[in-house]
Amino acid sequence: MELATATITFYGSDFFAFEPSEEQRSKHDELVYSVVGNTYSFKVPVKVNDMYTRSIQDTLDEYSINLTRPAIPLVNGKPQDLRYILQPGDKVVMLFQISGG
Amino acid sequence: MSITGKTFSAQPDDLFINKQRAYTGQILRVDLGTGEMWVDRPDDSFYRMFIGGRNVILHYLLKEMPANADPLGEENLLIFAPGLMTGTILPGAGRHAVGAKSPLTDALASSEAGGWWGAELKRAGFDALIIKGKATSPVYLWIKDGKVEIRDAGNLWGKLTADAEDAIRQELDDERIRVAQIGPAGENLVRYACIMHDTSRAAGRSGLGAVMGSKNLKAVAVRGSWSVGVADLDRIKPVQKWIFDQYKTMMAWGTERGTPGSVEPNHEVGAMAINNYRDGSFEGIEKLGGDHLHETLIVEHDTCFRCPVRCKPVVDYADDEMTINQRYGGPEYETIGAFGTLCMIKDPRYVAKADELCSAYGIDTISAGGTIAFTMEAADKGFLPDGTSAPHFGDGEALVDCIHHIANRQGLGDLMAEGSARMAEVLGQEAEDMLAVARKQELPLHDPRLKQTMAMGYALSATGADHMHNLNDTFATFPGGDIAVRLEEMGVEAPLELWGISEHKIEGFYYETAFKNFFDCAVICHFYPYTFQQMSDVISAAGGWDLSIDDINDIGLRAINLSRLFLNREGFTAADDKLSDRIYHRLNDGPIADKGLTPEELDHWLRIYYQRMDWDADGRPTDEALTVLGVQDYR
Repeated sequence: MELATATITFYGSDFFAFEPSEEQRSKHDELVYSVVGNTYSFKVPVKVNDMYTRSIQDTLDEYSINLTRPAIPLVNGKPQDLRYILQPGDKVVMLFQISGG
Repeated sequence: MSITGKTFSAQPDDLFINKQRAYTGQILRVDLGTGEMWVDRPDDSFYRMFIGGRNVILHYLLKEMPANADPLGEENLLIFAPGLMTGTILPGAGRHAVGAKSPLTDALASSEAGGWWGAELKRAGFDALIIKGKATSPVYLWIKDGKVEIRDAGNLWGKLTADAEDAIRQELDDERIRVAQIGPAGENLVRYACIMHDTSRAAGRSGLGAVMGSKNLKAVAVRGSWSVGVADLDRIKPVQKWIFDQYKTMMAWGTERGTPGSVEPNHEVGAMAINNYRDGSFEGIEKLGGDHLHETLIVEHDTCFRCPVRCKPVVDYADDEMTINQRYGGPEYETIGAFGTLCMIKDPRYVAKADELCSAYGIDTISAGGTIAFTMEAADKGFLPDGTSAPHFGDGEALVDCIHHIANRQGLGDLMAEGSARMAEVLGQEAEDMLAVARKQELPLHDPRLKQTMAMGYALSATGADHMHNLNDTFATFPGGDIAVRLEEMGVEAPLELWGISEHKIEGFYYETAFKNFFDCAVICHFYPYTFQQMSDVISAAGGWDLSIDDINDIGLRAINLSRLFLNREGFTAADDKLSDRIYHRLNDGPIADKGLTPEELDHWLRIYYQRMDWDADGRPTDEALTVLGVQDYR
């Protein structure tokens, strides 16, 4: 059965780090990571079953995608926080934030 | 009576001179009506309780300025107040606060500026400068190593800020003099005129430049040669080392693109205000973004006293249509929004030119942008008097013309110089529906329909809408961000949720606004990701005390409560804690379509906050709340 997926995208490589160890990498073969120009995308499985759902933060943690700067997710064009539960087909764009003005 | 030529001299105490403590022990007083000068010498407990900055401003406004004083009258006080940390080795502590009663809001004006001026005043031997009265003719103050002189400024009056700075340095024969000054906008009492420092750093908000102009005070020139030491260098150095180790990653945004780098992300997330708060997206935002500005206009970054980050954009530009002088720096995020998206200007050259002119004339860019956008909408809807030459959305040349007209109070600019809220009072009820203000001050570029706790902060702020001593909802959602770290220190579960307001978010707001107010007393740059514990270490080290993180929190709470007392004394009540109706209108498109608060929701959460602060139902601090903080004598 094909897993339902969502996509998490970063425009620019400077506010995340994706450096999983070999052991970690072997645990998430289902992750599809692509780089096109300055666009870094992760296609991730979501909602494995009704009992097991994952937030954006859970997903980032699970696949060792570490935010290096404050960022806020835009999910299907709407701002959310990292506790948002990913749904099949979601398109997530991570936008960096600064504190002051 | 001419006061020019009067002099005064006072020496800081030995502990400061010997670099054993971060405060000088003397606060300079100047009466421009009589020319009298003297110093106050508060005891150690004053510094321990208030630290400096906003708390010192509030101490003097509450103790010495009579209630309901005319903001542009002789009784108003103009207070320049560095903080305990200003001028020390702590990175980010090159700032100072300026305060008075505001001619824009009739409430508190309390604004902070970067650059070098604040550190220079400490190095010249004074913890603060308090000015009252009005000179009969234009003057400026010259302060050098404990000596003060009142000098004639007749030849400076009317000059743009760079020209005035050059003239002062030439007259005093010292290129390293630091100058705080007003431009023509302050001289002409524009109600949102600012005070410029080093020609590109503004104490921007609430009309402090008009207060300075009302006193016939053109500038304060300072030069100091003392070093600002601390009581316990070993206790401050680990924090200094930590930030030197961390800033290249934690504050990389500043080094790389500065605040213009946040334009596109903030637009994508729905935080920017567009078309006077009526649209949800701005076509062509990339032209106003950090990348494009760095490719076309921004040539370098500048910095402030002892700051390694270098976030300040500097524009140097010339073409057949315009030149932009790098002496005036360049537009920050708020300015790009105020002149760009709010006024629908897509050509960044005009945004940068308007920014340059605001630094040259001494005008707050946020209120200027808000007032111009309001005027553009009023023109579109036919609310302006017949025959008025009015600006229209998207017209860059008209934007630039507006700045000239406001600064010089020419034509419609004379009314625009009063700010959008007073304009609306003249234009009528329908025009009030186009306002985006809190306490008559134009909103910053953080849309409260997205940042709803910040909306509450806008309504509560004693200075009128302000994003600095506030909580940034989007940033607070990040686990590991400095807001989350600080909240966890104070026992609040973090990070905070994005949407709405909750008792949990109010708890976060309570501590974060106390911390930001503490920053404005210390006076430290809000971009620095310091923690409560680090601040307890550095304040203790600077003053020779032993303060806890709860003591740091109390310093901020004093500023909030004293601000509230000031509001109450000037006639403000809970009914004034509100936002313009426009902010409750939902957007039809963009990332935050259909989102926002209702007035009833805001009122509900304000009352929860009053309870958290131990204020009464009308938003007045109780005697118990003041006594706990040791400020019961200020009511």
